[in-house]
Amino acid sequence: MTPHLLSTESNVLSVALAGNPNAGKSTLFNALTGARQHVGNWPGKTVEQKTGEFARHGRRIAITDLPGTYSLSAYTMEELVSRDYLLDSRPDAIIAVADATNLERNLYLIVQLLELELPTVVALNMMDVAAKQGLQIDIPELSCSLNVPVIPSIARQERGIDEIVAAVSHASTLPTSACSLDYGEAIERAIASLLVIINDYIAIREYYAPRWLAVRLLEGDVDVAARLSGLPGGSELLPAAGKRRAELAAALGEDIDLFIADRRYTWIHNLAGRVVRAGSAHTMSNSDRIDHVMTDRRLGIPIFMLAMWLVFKITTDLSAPWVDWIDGVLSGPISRWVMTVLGAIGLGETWVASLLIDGVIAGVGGVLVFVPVLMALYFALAVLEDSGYMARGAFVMDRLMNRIGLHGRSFLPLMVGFGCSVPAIYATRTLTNERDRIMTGLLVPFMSCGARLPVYVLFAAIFFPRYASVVIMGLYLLGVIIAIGVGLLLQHSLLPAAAAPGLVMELPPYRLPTARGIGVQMWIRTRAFLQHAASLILVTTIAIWFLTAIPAGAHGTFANVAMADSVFGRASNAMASVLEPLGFGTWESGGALISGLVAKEVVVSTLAQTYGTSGAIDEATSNTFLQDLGEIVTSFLGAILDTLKAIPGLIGINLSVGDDEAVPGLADAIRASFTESSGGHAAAAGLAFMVFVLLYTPCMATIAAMRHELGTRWMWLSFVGQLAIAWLAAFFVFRLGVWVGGL
Amino acid sequence: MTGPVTLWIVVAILALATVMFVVRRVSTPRPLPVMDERVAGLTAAGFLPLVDCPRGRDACLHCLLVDHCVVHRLLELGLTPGTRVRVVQDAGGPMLLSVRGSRVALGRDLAARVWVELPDRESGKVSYG
Repeated sequence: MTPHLLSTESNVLSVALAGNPNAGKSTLFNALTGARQHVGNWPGKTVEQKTGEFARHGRRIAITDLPGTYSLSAYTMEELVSRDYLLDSRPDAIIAVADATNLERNLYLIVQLLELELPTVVALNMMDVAAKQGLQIDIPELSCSLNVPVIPSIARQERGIDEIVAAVSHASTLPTSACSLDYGEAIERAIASLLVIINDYIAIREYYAPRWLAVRLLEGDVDVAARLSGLPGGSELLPAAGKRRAELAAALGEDIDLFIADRRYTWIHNLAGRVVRAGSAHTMSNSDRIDHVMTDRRLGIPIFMLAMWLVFKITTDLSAPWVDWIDGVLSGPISRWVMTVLGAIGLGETWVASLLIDGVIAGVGGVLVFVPVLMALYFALAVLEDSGYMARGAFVMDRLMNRIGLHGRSFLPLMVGFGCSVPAIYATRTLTNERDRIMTGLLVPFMSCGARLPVYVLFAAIFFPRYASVVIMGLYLLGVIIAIGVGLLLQHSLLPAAAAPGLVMELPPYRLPTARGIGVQMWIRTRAFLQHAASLILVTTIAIWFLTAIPAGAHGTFANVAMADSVFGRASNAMASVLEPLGFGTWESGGALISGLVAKEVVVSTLAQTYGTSGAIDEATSNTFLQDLGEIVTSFLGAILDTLKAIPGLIGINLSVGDDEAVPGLADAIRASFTESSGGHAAAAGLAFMVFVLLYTPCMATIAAMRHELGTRWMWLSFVGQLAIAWLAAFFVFRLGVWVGGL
Repeated sequence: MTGPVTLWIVVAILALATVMFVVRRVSTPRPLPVMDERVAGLTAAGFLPLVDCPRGRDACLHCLLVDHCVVHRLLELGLTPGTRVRVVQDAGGPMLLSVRGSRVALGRDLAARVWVELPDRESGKVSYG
């Protein structure tokens, strides 16, 4: 590189990446940054923000991936976010990604970007696909007409990347000159008259590109009007713009913004006609042939169901061996090592040991066990998204989901929710609209997750031994029914359906997903979970440990207290009175439900603990360090083997509940306790308990995911709302059982 | 034990039926709130809504009788008046269109409000408006 460029290395070049959805923006972003990217949300929004930094040609470049949009008007959250960033953060340059196979539609966004008068480079992507379709694009002519550099690229093969970076570094040093799109005489006259006013006010002229501003005002952009109203000159400019709009509306006889959009497309159409030489037009592409089957009237839904079933199986079956492995390593060797070290420094058998083992390590485990689940989910989602099938799924499910005011795309997160609510909440990211995302996120916990199943299995076996599977099926069904009800309720209260009850969505052509694209997505998203949700889960686990360690009365000392006498026991006792009308008002079930807030997996084990039937904790076997290490490796290999063995099982349907090792004596203890607390209606109380577990506040991990994805307000609504629904439903079930059935 | 379990199954079925009933009541009867005289005018002039457009035929987009912000979304995707569109798939639910080289899915309700013109008509005799 030239010494000149090297000398400017210290200042980072900020670049925004803009483009249509499916234009290859993410692929280009990955090619530019590799895995050095940060995924978060735009401040105050639930729109995903990706940023990354890299150095090339001696320049350090900080790149921000704007959400994929089709225009820069402010009708959607994504458009608004993109525009605010471009206007307020003023990147040094824009890389505008365009799909070469679909130039007209991509140019619609690009001409709007150019009006912002920021240094811009057009990356003409997917040149290989265009060539295959017989499209020839006159790049010099396109570049000349747009008055910006146009760089051909194939982001999937990482071709053209260096050229793009070079062009961006270069362009950012040059003065910008906008391309002149002619809007027609009437509009141009109005623009000119507004420009006179704009140029009078430095504050406006310096901050906004004058011509862009004039066009936006004529289009009646409310957001831009709001921005101007506080500025000097706004009071002159806004009424003038209003007057011009009225005049134009009268003269043109139609909406000005539609007229302007039409002019843009006409201009683009003419440009495309000059630069694109089409191959054989109107042939049916391979993509269309696949779609013929995939979106078929009869086959579409079964195929989609099969795909969803696979996603569901991948997230549960492929990750299960790894969950077991992590669990085994943490509770086995790692715990033993910690004990050994603590023993060596004289802290064994003290509360410190208990805190580390039962608080910290259990908490870390509670976080880590989700990693394989999320990786598996993100793998499946990335394949569905990158291949283009996700949009087809939304297409075929749209009609059914519309019934409850949801979009076809909402089906996938709900399905994933049967496996685990945490990845399901994260899967709502695939929804493009904020309202749909919140609604789907709120409904996800009603899908009975895998962790609740052991509770049903235990209780159904105790109270309904002959009809266990019917009862369990019924619970799953009840969750779905309540979700539909809640969906309808939300639709008519907090989350009214958008003004447009209809799907408008582009279906991208089918593409073979790349290993790199999938890998990056899995890694980045899992890391985001670790960063955001992990702390909350860890803190809660430790907090619960402290509650069980602190004695509430005179009995016991810190960390050496019977559970019933701890603060936790007392709190459970307090809960018992609340649970009394439901038929299971005992401190044991109260405690189990409270600990179920941390993870539903522990409801059964807490029951065993509180009923005092759990066996003695495994005494540390005297393994050597090397034996332990060997064990970790062996079990790791075992997990790989189990994963491979699970793959053929993905196709088969395996509904076996799994014969859980019944805790001896627990069943009798629960039956006796429930009979007493319910006044002889143990079965009704047992059913109510299951219904409560099905519906009440999801686990901490889900709550953390909700806070991360939907925001604190909706998280609390879900927290409180579900508690209320669970209580009411359990009450209803118990009373009905007592009243009708004499259960 | 048979009695209570049967009862619960009955209760579940009843609950399901109730919810289905509510869903139906709430969501199905959604009359198109478009101006009838415009629809009548368009029909008389020989235009037809996209839902009635046969699959695989090229049609020319005439007008969009939808809310302003929906019009924008459609425009962004290249559905401007005068554009050639073709119905690629009509599976009873949303419709799949081919527009300017890309595939766009349109909800059925929306497709009912997008008016097109089939090319074999003699467009010179059409009175616009």
